[in-house]
Amino acid sequence: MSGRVGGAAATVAGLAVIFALSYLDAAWDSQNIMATIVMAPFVTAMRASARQTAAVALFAVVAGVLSGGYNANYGTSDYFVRLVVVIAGAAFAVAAAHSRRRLAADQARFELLRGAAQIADRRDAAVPEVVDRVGELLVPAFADVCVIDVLRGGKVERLGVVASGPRREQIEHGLRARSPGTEAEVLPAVPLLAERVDESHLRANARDDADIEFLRSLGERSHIRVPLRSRGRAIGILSLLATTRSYRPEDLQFAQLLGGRVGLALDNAGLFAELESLQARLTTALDTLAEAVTIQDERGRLVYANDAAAQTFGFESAEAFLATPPQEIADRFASFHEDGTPLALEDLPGRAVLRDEHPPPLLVRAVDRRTGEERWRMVKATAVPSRAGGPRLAVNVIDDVTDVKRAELAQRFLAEATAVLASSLDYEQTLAKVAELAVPRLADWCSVSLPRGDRLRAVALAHSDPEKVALARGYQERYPSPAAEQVLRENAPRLVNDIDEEAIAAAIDDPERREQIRSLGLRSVMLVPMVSGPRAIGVITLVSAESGRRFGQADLESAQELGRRAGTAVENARLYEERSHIAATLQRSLLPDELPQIPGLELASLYRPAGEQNLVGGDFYDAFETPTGWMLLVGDVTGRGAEAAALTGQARHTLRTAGMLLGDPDAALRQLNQALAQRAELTPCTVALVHVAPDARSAAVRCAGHPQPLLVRDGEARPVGHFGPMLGAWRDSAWRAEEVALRAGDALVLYTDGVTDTVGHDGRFGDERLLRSLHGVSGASEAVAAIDRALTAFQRGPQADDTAVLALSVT
Amino acid sequence: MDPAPEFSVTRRRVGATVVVAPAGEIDLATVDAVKREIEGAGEHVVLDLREVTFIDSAGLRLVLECSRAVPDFAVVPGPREVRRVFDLVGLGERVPMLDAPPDG
Repeated sequence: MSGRVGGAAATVAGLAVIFALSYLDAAWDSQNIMATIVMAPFVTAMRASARQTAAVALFAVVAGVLSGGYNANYGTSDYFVRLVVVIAGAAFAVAAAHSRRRLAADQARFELLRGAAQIADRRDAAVPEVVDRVGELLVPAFADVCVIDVLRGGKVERLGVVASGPRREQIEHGLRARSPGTEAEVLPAVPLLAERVDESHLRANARDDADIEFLRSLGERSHIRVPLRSRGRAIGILSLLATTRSYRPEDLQFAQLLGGRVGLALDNAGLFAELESLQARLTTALDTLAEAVTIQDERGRLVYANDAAAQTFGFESAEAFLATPPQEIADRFASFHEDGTPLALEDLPGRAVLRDEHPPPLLVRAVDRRTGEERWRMVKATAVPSRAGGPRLAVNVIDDVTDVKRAELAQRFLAEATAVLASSLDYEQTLAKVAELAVPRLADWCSVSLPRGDRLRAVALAHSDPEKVALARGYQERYPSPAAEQVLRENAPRLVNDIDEEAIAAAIDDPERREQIRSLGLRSVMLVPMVSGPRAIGVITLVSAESGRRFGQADLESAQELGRRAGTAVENARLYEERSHIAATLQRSLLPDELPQIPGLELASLYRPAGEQNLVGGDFYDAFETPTGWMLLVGDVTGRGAEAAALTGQARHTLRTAGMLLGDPDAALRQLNQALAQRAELTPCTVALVHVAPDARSAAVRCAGHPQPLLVRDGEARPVGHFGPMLGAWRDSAWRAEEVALRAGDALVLYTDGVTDTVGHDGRFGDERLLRSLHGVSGASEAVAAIDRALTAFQRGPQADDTAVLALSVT
Repeated sequence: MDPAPEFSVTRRRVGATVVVAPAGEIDLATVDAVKREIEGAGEHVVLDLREVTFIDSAGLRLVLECSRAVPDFAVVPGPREVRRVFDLVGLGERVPMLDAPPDG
């Protein structure tokens, strides 16, 4: 401090002036120049402090008082006047010295501020350079030690330490190594002044015993801590230590100003440029991301949204989106969970994250209330924890998965529809299921119409609101749709969106009908043909009402595919019904309409066709009169279906015709054998044939590869007849008859292997069970009933093969 | 056929002869499996039915077909029930029946 040297010199000079003038005054008798002593304090005041000036002034006054001795004017008015002049001058000089020093101090501070401002203005300076220059500026002019700490990336960083004095390096090293503290300790950055640092102060600040030693070694006398501020925020702390002086409140105020300048200088030097450029890069990255990204603060308000997010939610710009309150944004959409339940704002993952939860991604279906457009969004949220630990921000990533979801839903819907369509061949019932399946996934209301007579009639209708089913049905009944007729005629779909008041008024004249449309809340309609082969066989109508949903191209495609699948199913069902009808008719043709009445004989039969109705079986039986008695037969053609049915018909009618014409069982068998053997394909057939004499007293039993008939006599059954070759296998086959004398009460039971091959819990039904089932029976009807009962009790699962039984008994 | 008890067909070659040996029940549900094995077996085939527990008309028809299509075809009829069915339809007299497959 050069001022001190100057002050001392000025003091010495002042005192020298006093002595010199006093000497002159004493030596110069004729003149009294005592008053000139007053110059001394002024001389001092020019350079020295007020205190030094006051000392010199005191000497000057003392010299003035003493001057009365050598000037010999004590007590005179002249003496007093001169003394007053000296005292007044001295006082004035002291005041002048005081003002001068204050001015000089202000000047110095001004210079410091100016220096700091100059540093701040140097925009090309790097941070270390700024720190060095701030140090140079402040040390030792304003402080003996200057420490700069900044907040960067959530941490406190010791940016610079500048000390002065002989222990400079030691102090700088020690302070650099010392932890700058945490952000919580540094912020809030309250300006702090310790005018006089004492032991207790050191203890309060020391981190440990070694630290307190270090703090003591600094010789700190006074200190100031002020925030470094830039652009309205605290970016760090400026700490100033004085070892020889005490800071005063005005120094604190000044330091605060300084803090602002230094903070700005550091900011300008790009302290945060790196961070901010990273932030800027991140923001740019987010802005250009295809995924919608939003960031919410603790209160759920949006603080950031990229353009994709704004677009997703139907806003022109991110700014407009951010300016809209969350509830208002939510209100723009009817939002639903995947299962269709309404979605509340609180269900969103972002809100859950702010509640400290860890929500899984949420799939949301949102229908824009204004446009009716439906979107699927996958919403994921992650928390950005605050420095205190709890969530501060929620980052939401919103993926528009509409296309994927629609494709998936369409696939699933069509798969389910196909399964449902395949589950039953009762097509009206099936179509009802399809309509139910389409609601509410594809539409709020779905009806399936088929041509009935000269117009289309709804055969199935489903509505998401059960109370509206009747209303919708009534409407369709009452107002046949020309559009649907056209779709059927042209085999081309039709899609009408945005049905509003105006459109209704333009299209419909009937006010009552208009009213009905309004009450049904029609918004969009899709009409697709049900297609089978090249033609449309019906129309599926899909209506959007309550949901406000607008149909898109994807919806139309799904609906058309549904139309194709439903069309095929309906056609199949029709064919199946037709085929079942044909099969039943054919089956009936293979069996006699009714068994003939034969005097002295009772006949009974049982026919159990296998499982499916539309497969004509290969079993047959017949009973007819011949010129030589009665012929009863049971036969079996291998296989099922149309081919077997044709053969069965041929077999039965060949036997019947030959038998009736020739009256010879062997001839009849030969005839059929030849006919079958002539066929290109191997078509074996087995037959058991009983020829009963006209008097019913005897019967000839023949087996052509067929199980032997059973003779039930006195309640016991036994097989009768010789084994013979099956028909159609060999041309040279011949059969041997077993003649059986019949008694009253005897029964003959002819059956096919469907009886013995029947599967039960305990293997096949078999011969033994068959014989046992006939134990104790008498009469044809009883025998047939007994077999039927036994089979029903035994059988497990569906019947695999046809079963035929024909019994006769002698009355 | 329900229940379809376990059914299998094995095929082995003994010299020039292929022995096809089904095991289980031969009926409409399983007959095609046997048929496939025989069709590719060549001109000397023995159908070994010793492990067969049941044969229905579809099986008989197969035997009949094979007796026509395969120049050297023989059957090892196996269990009594199966043998009885062959007799029933007259196959026993028409198709060569063996007590056991060659070398087996």
